[in-house]
Amino acid sequence: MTEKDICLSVKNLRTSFFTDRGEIHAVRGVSFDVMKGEMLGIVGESGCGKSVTAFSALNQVKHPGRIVGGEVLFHGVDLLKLSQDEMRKLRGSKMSMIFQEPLTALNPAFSIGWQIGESYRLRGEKNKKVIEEKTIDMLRKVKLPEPELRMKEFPYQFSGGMRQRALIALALACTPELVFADEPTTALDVTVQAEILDLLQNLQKEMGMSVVLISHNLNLIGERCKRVLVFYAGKIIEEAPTEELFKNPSHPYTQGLLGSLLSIHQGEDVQLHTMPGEVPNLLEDIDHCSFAPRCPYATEECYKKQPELYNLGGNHYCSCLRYKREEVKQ
Amino acid sequence: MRELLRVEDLKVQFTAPASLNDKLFAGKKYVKAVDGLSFSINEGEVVGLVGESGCGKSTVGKTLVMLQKPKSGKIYVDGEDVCETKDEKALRKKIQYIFQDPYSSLNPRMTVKTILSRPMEIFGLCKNKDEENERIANLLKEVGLSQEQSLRFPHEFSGGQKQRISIARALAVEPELIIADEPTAALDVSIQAQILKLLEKLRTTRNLTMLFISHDLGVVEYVSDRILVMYLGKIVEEGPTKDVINDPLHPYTKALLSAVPKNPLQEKGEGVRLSGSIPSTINIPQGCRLHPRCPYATEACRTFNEELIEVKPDRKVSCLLYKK
Amino acid sequence: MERFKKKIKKAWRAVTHSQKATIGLIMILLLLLVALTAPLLARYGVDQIGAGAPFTKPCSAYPFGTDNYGRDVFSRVLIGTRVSLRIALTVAALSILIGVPLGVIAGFNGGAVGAVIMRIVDVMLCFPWIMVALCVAALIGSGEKVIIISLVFAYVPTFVRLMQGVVLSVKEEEYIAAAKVTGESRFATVMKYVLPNCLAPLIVEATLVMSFVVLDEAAISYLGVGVQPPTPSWGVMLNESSQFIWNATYLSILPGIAIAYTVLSINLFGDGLRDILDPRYMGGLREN
Repeated sequence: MTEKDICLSVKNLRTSFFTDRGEIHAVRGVSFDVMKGEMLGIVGESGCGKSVTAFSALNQVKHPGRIVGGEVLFHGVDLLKLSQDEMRKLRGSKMSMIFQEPLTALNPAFSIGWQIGESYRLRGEKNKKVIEEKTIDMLRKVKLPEPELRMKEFPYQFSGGMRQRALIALALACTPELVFADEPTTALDVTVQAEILDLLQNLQKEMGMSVVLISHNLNLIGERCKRVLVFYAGKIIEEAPTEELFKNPSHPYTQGLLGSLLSIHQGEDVQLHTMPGEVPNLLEDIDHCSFAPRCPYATEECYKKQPELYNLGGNHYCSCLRYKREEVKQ
Repeated sequence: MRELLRVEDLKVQFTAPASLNDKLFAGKKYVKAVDGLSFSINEGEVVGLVGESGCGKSTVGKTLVMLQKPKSGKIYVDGEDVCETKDEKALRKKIQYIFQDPYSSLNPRMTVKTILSRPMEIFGLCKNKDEENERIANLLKEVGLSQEQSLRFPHEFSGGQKQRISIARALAVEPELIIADEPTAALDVSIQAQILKLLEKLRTTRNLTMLFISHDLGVVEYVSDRILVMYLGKIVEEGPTKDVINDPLHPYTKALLSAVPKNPLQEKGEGVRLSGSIPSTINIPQGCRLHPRCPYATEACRTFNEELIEVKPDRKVSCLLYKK
Repeated sequence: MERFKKKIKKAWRAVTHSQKATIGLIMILLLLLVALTAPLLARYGVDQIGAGAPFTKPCSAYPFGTDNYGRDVFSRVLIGTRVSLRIALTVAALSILIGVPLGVIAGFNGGAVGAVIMRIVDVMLCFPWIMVALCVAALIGSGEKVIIISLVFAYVPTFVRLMQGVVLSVKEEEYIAAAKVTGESRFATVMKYVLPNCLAPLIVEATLVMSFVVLDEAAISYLGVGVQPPTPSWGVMLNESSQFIWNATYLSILPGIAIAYTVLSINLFGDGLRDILDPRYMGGLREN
């Protein structure tokens, strides 16, 4: 793993939302790298900062949110220092995002074909024939049936699964190097979900992009990604190759999450472990382990200092004082 | 064992929105949300009703609690016909409902105490205020909330806590049958686990009978004794949970099972993928309703009458592959 | 008693949390105070002709001058507060009493009854209320009654349409279905579940209507079929002073200010109330 293989490098990113009630520390110092051609998984429950991290990495945090610190290096350029104009160009050509809710992410007033064609138009393609061909080509890539006819239709005429296909086509039309897929299948049924994820995975391999797949479903991430980051309360609390994570979940939260997960075919007796309590209030600036109040192993020390991501060997990092050791992730 | 609920050939239809032109010249079109459904639930049993969105599973639940009128068919609760009952109130006490969305199923302008005391008042379950307060306190304790929280309004609770309140409200009248409509779909996994554990606990302490409606096979496998798989308004497979999960018969059940994301360390069987998307319930395909998407479809499927074929005792499937 | 105290305390905290509501409330309280104590504050009688020389310019004895009959403008505006507020409150209350039940029935029941109510309302909206005022006056003679009847006629449709719309959307909420499942009767469902959740838009609309009524009363009285001289409503005073607008501008100023002040205070308070009645807004007020 060298510098050259890194596509995006996020360093100590902090994003807060400034509301009437005070500052919500949504992302509290997150560092990770996305490798070239990698499908990286981010997993966490609602409010853990996984979506905000994606929006921050695209420098697209909406008011009242603001990135308060850190760096996002894309090919060595800090995206957070770019102007909105430069950022917009980058978002249209090198980076892009697939949203959770396909109905709201598509413009209801324009045909699907027009919306996808727009991305070619923005990049200076003027020939209508060429734009149409490219659009049909893109729709064919996402396996939309009868793309020649379907491109003239509007989002409301599409089913949920087809909308998500159109949205993927829209995101990939600019042949990006990096795509954030924020819960791309949460709004869909399981059978459709599997199809869409197959499609995304195939396209990722075919086009050699890096994809950051964000989901609340650990199994879904486990099936699709080689490497997983587990988020809790705005921080990465565990990072590991997928197999390692499922075999040796180290952070008590990851263990709890795996225990709460209901996988089918679990044999005779389905065991369900529950974690007590709920996600902490991010209005407070937590300066200790944020999981301590729910943790069965919590000691006094856990309430005193913020654990770092300790290296457990083999690219497995865990932010829990029980694994405290010298080597820390930079 | 006492049969608590029996549904016979239930059909529920809605008029499909249509243009004036269609109304005048093409005649009314109907969305067949539930299209001939029969099943029964015994006392103390938890039955899971699984299907994807739009298959009519929620409509079934709503029809059972008289929130929706059926077009035809019979619903018997404890032997009494729901559609022709004279005493609707008495029936309501027997059958309660847990809604999917805890954020919208609690009146935002009532305190938790009022939310829980209303059903008791309506059915006159308590002799005086003291008894009522005591029952509310017990209910809250039972679902894992504290009595001090009873004077708060719903928006002051998290999603998981709201669902606990919702469960407490359903339990307040001590019903015999509870219909739970995706009670954990709106919640995070760790909170979902807490709620499922709670339902599991209540099931043993209160000997609950429940119809558990969900799209999530994992959840249904955990809570239910028996599974009904529904596709486009009809049951395509039914049987004991373990049998259905470990040995699915109907191609749709197989596809559903192989589509669920699994722990990557588990070995995976060969998957069944359906082609195309779910057809609209306005134009349900002729014959077997799955045949346009089914990888095993043959010519005969186009004329299949969709009867439930009993393969083994307690195990029924509506597929020509199993017809002898 | 303890609970009542707590409620007052909570309401006070809520009001003071919203600047608009606080300012509006203080302004309204001042207005009510003036209305209540007007006879004490007024130095001269309302129709005391020749309290001073006609057309006295504002001076220490007559802070806002005297009119063409020599009546003290300041005293008349003070007493006029009562008339104007009385009309505003009566019209708003009657419109709500008639309009809200009709709107709730139309929204909650729907069907044929709802359709009939809504069509009647549509017809009512077709009549300009000034014309209604003139017709009513022709039938029963001029006076405060004319203002009240014609303005109620004008504002009932507003409330019916508002409530019908709000109830239609509230009715689809899951807690209404939940109420049905727990055995609530239709009436209880409306009273305990539907209405409380329609309160916010209703209160905002009511305050808006009240401020409109103050202006409309002025318009009807200006036409001469409303409050009759010498009763000093603000509208009547504006009407009378308009003849002398070039020679004695000061006559119109105080009634004008009074109307503007009232409208502003009610609107501010209404806006503030809307924020306060949003449960999420109140959620931010909890101590823990």
